[in-house]
Amino acid sequence: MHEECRVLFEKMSEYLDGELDADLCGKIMSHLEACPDCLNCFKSLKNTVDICKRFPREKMPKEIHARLRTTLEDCMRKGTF
Amino acid sequence: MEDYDHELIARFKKGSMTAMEKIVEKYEEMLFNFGKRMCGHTQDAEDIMQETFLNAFKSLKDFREETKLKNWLFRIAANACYRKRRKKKDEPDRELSLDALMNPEGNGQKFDIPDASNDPGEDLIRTELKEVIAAATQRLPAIYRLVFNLRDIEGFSTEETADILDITTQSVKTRLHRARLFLRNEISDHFKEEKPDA
Repeated sequence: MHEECRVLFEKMSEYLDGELDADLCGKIMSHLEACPDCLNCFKSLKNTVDICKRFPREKMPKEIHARLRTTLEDCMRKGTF
Repeated sequence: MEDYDHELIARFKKGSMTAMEKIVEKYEEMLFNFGKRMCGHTQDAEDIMQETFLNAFKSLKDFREETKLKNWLFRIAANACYRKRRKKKDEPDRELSLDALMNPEGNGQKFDIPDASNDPGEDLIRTELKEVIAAATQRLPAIYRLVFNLRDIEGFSTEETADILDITTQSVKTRLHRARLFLRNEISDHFKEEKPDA
């Protein structure tokens, strides 16, 4: 793998999260414009993160909600807290 | 939000059951989902959530709010996940090496990551994708799964995640990157396998 491609591969998540300094960020941006393979690799990673973030939280079953309250209220009454 | 938590903590310390209920109401679904994503089972998720609240309320009187209540609860929950793994004698974490996640030929490999748009016609692919992501996340070694869930799902910053897990910010970045690459490869492999031969 080309050295510039390797650097990008290692720093791709930090680049995506905006956690790199301006200098390295600029170098990566220029490399992405010139290297279609790295651009494809970056887009696939970004897409993965986007779809993983997109799914909403699952609703908690009512019986679990009720059991938690019973346990906590018992503890409160017994002075455990 | 933090002011509200501060007020709830103060009221709980004075013995308010209502304050306890408000704290539970605010964080139970978050912690339940975190437990489910970490362990993959509803029963384990319930245990983790319950253990988190029990431990939190036992120590809340001494909580000096040096960190946000939410972050403190997730620290307790992460420890509960570790304890559950130890009890179950799960396999020790394996390292994900960057070289193994890298294509030696370069970054030119094509990945099949479906687009789960909000179009109602995409329901089938969304349902499948949700299951594929959940299964792939379970195959991630736990140390990577924890970081991925805290950073990408719960939205904690790198610094907050490092503080919650008591690791360095560099470890958070390294683990997160490897977790994302692992998930990308797993998701792509699943959808590649599904495609009929041309």
